[in-house]
Amino acid sequence: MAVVLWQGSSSFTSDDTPWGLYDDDSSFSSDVDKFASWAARRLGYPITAVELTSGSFYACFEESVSEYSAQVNQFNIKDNLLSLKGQSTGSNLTHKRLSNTMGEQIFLSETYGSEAGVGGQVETYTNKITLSQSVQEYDLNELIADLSGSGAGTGGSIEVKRVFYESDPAITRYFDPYAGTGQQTNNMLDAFGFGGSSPAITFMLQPVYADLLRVQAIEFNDQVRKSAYSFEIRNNKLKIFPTWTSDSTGSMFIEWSRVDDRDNVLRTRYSGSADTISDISNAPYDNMKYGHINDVGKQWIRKYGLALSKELLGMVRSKYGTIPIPNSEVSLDGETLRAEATAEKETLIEQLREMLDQTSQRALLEADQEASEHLQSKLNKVPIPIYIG
Amino acid sequence: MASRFWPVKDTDLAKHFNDELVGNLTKDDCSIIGQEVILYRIAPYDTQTNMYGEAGETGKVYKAGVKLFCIVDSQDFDWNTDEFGPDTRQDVSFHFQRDMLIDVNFRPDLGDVVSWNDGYFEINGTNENQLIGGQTGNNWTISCTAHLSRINTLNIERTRAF
Repeated sequence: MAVVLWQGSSSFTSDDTPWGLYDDDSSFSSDVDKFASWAARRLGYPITAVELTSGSFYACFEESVSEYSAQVNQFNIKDNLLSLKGQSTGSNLTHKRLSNTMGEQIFLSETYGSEAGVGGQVETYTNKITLSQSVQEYDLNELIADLSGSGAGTGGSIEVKRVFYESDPAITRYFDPYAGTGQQTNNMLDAFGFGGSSPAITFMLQPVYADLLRVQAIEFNDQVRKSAYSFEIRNNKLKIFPTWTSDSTGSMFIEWSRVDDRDNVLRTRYSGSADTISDISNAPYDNMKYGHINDVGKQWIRKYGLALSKELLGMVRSKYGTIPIPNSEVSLDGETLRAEATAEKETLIEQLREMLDQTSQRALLEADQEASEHLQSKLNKVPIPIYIG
Repeated sequence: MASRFWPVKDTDLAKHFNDELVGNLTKDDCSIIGQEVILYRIAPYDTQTNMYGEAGETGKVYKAGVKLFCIVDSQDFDWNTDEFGPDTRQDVSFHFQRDMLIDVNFRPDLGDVVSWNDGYFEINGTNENQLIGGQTGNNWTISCTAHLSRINTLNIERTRAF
């Protein structure tokens, strides 16, 4: 059986590559035969035989294009992931310029908003608790958590967000009936829209802080001299201060949310947001179109493809430590080829990554800022003419 | 049946390396080592023998020479001086790739003469014991030991054909 070797030329047809990723690209099908010829010559043909077939070179070239595509797209994903997260996976972003968005930052901020009570995605419920005379402690499990039905805890943990057990607002006691009446208070009430004053009344301008100081004084008085409205929650028991003393029932509202709702990590913003980009694995970057890659990239692809071919040739030549010849054995250069190929591959990958890192958004902005500062420094050394009018 | 190591494909590849290194009769490409010899097989039916079965007065008759590639392992010259004068002796081993010989349906044997380095060496022993991977089906080499012979004892004349 004859060994199939590189014969000096090749003729590419579709499906000759293992994956067939670029076979339909006319630029690829045109270049792949040239690559095979070039790589074979760089490996010693025709001075020495090259134990590779045209299919071997095709496979190396295809892998090289895919490696270049993967490296560049990995960088693109890394550079744009903050803007990509949450976007639809349906659009192919390869070879596309993207604009930065605040989507992911806002998405992250919504969690803080939920805790701060200013938005977010956690549903908040409000329950009314009936207060009975002399009853100070109320079981939240019994009243909310263990209840079933819409808006109830349905047996899950709840988190109390707010308890509306407060004294009357100080502003309602601003007008103290024992302090007498006068134009000043009438004017103040009118300013807040509470007044029903007739025309031609006397107006006096009064700073707002005077009103705030008075409100604070009332609230502070309640805290120190009275039994201030307050509560404690321990072991799911809500204890109110002061105890409800009226012989008629009262009402107290509690705002709460479900813990499993708060801790739900599989949160979707809307019904169509299930198939969205979550991480680098589903960011829609596909293999590049070979014809769209510029000559700079193609040169990298050729060199990497040559390194792959060299590695493959090294594997062929080093399968056995020695090859028998009549009455003796010889060692081929397989290990040397593999070592060289490994080093070349590492160097090429390193160079490409370094170049990509230098073109990241952050690096470009830093370079631009640096150039701007240098330019400003240079301009500062230009003599300023003295204007004589 | 080929073993797990050295299957037919690998053996063929090794043969390719041998062709490139040692040389191949069917290929025009120059080989890396490229040691050529001309082997003359003895023609027993054309050789006249005496009553003892030895070659007669006309000596041994050889067939036309065949060019072969091999690895030559030559010993130093040994000079022997006796009552007939000085005599040159040299032992040389010729190692042929077995598959190459199979391709041309040719096998060196005892009594054949090998022409190499302007000398003629008569084969006095053969050995086939380079078994690749220990497999008897992968017998790689036919080694021939030979000694230098005087040309006047041979009915070989070099012509322009070579």
